Amino acid sequence: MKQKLFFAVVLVCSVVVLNFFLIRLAPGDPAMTLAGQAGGADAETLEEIRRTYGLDRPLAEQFFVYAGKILTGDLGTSYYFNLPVSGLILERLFPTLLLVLSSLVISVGLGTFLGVLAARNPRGPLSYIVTAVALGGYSVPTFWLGQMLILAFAWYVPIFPVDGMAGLRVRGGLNQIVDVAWHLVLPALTLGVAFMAQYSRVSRAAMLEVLDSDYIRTARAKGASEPAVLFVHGLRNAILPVITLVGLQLGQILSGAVLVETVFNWPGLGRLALDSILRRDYPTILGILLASAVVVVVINLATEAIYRSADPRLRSGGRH
Amino acid sequence: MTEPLLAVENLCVDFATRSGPVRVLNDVSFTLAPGETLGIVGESGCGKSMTSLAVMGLVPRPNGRIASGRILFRGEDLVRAPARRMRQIRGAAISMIFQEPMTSLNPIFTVGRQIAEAIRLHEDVSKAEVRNRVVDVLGRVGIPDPARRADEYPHQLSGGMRQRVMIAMALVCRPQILIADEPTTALDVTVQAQILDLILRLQQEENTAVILISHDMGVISQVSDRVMVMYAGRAIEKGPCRDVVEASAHPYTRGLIACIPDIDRTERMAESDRLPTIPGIVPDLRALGETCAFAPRCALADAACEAWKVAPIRLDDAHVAACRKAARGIVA
Amino acid sequence: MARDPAFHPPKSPFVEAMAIFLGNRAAMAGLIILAVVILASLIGPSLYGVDPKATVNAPFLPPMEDVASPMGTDYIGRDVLAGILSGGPATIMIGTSAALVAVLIGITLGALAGYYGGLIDTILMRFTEFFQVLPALLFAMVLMTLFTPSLRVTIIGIGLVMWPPTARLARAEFMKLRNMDYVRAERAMGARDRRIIWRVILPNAMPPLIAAAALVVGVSILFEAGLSFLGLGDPNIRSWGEMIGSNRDYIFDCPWAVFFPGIAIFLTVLGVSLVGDGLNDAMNPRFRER
Ligand SMILES: Nc1ncnc2c1ncn2[C@@H]1O[C@H](COP(=O)(O)OP(=O)(O)O)[C@@H](O)[C@H]1O
Ligand SMILES: [Mg+2]
Repeated sequence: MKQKLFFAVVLVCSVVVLNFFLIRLAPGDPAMTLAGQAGGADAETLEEIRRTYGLDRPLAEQFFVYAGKILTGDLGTSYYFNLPVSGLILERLFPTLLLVLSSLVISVGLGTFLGVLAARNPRGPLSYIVTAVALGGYSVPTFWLGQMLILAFAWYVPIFPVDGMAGLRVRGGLNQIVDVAWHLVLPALTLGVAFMAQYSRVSRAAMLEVLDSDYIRTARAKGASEPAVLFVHGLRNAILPVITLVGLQLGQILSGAVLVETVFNWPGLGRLALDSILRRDYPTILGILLASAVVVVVINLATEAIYRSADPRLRSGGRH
Repeated sequence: MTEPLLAVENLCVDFATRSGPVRVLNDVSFTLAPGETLGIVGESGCGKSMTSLAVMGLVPRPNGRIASGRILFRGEDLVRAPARRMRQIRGAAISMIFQEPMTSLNPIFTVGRQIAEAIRLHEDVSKAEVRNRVVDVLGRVGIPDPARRADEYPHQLSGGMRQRVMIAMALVCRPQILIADEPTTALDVTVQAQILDLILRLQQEENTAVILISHDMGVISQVSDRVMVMYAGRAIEKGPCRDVVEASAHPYTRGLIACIPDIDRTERMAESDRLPTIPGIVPDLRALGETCAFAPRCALADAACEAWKVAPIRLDDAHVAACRKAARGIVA
Repeated sequence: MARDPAFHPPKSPFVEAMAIFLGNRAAMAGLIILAVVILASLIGPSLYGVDPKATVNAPFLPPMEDVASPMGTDYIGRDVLAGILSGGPATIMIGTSAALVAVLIGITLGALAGYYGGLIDTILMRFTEFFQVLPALLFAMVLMTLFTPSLRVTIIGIGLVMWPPTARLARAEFMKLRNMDYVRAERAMGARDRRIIWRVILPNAMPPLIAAAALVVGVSILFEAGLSFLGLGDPNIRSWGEMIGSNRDYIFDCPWAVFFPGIAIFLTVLGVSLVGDGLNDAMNPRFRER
């Protein structure tokens, strides 16, 4: 676990290095890129940036200035908002986390449930449906699926709202929580479907293997009921590869969140990233890239911890 | 004769495979009396495990099914019993332990929890009572420091310890029948005898009937009251242990007995390469008909054997063999 | 159950794989979908003859209303069917080229990591992990804005974020194959590493990599659609994703202008995935059961 933590830090540092080089790889003056006004910054601003980032110094020194700033939480200033990027990001972090985590709950929960049920009868109808839905979910463009859900459930049959994360008139208390949850349904579902499809497929395969195992036969020999066999003895073992996959796919899930936030006007990091890109607000974009890497790394460590607690063989005290 | 606890009558089990249905158990019948030990012996693949799974109602679905026959447990036909009734019986009245202790326990639960589950599935007892029984039964199967061991995971135990846990789990509800399917095959030679002794001791304490399955005629002949020899899905000889071992009627049984080394175990290990074996291979079940499946490997078989429709031949009161020549005393 | 040799005389692995593939109904369906898509892309535009970029009819025209625009028109009166037909070649070209870039990077890094092992493996795998952690779309978005979007930037950008899974697979294959007898024999005869990697191991590692590459094509097509949807693709190319993106704000006025391109993407990716799965089943015998 200590080693994992170390590599997590290394990974985040690598993104800092990447950002540093991206600024310099872009055609044109790095000061211009850091000012981020699509080339429209005045001479005074550019001079100021050159000074604070030490752009006239050697490259190595420039890097330490840059890295030092980031270490102290200074991700630069967004010219558009005229606010520190770090503050902007923190503000948008919660909606994105809410979206990503709730879609993870949907995709892992529902996906594994379907996979387990399908594995009961590998040639039965449910099994074919799961396989087909998995393939469909894998092939459908996320953003388009979101648009179709909007058409279906916010336009033709207006059940769910599509005005971002919360209605304007709802303020405070339980009402607001319910309101946000109501707004969350379609975006979380959209983001969850593609991954749910994959997880159902993976857990189905894992469950087929688990159901063939000796300890499932032991459970049956004890007189355990079929649901207990599936969901107590089977599921806990079949969910392990799903957790591994979640850890590997976090980057993809965050990528999907960018699209979903755009489709649903969800006020998260992805939406901010797109807006900033259209405004050529580079400090904000690069800040988001870094922040999202941190998010991925942190959730990754969490999945690692979950995996460990789900599989006693990985805990210490083993004899083998 | 006492009323049998278990009577299996004309049991046939079929499996669907790519190349059509295969009969893996063909007309198997036997009985088991209370407190008795029945040994089932035969080469690997002859249907020993399938027989025990059929009794447990655990023939693998959806490919396998009981095609015909009855399994009478105290007069109740388990083949026709509803799933709910079978769950009541499994683990409570009839228990089973398996060959592979390394994989037969769920790796993600403590052994204590797995034994506790067996109790709670069949009895309505308090949490504290369950815990007491778990620790008690672990002690009875010879696990040192049972209170601590109950909280360990399977991977923290050795193979022998895990098999003891399996035995504890099978016996914790005091079943009337214990089926032990090659309980020692996967264990170290030194542990094998301990586990076997344990099963027999517990059997005597509770007067449990035991079906002991092994491919090793040596083990079977030492501990069984009665023996059933299986070959290619059929029971080819059965009878009291003494009769089957000392007056074998079927050439296959004699072959198995010839394979028992009469030297002690250590030497057996050293000389395992030179152990006599029955020549030939186990036949493909798909290619079998109603004639003697052993004939192609049998030194005594003649043209008439190839055409003979297999039927059990009664040699005396309890001793039966499915060999054409047994009837004429050619073998015996 | 083991196959009975009497009934299944041994065939060459290629013939056997081919037979399995051709016997796979899902893969065949995928192949048919792909054939239709490719055929429509090749001859559709010239056969239909409507300019996809020009306003040719009234805006917001629903499908089937006017025989001249069977799939309707979008918010500035561009023909949706013309867009679908001409978007096919662009989408498929970008998808396959990007996948090619990704597979080349992936195989190279994976081969080196798997063959040499040790420190090289550790470093390359950390590098791969880094790219896997980075949210690919965000990274590609940054690339697309720092450098002016063009066809080449799009292809390289997608290729740069798509390679890690291929690298992992290639590494695993090379680790498995590097200790095979025929590889040892080559080495004993003094063959150079270069030759062993590319001429001896790679051909044997190809089957699973080909199947994986097919799946990369599908993901790349989806990825390109996402970028174009966000308005970050080459503005001069009308791809399916771009059609959806440009009509995003008018989705309630002309849902068909969003619906049809999405169906086109979906079917194409579905076809590619089906074929990829079929190849995988045919070429990896250990997964054949079930
Ligand atoms: N799932 C299955 N499908 C087809 N045949 C099976 C299956 N399981 C077992 N068999 C066949 O049933 C026969 C009996 O197996 P088994 O009872 O396990 O033998 P053993 O005497 O070694 O315990 C074997 O020939 C085996 O090939
Ligand atoms: Mg067996």
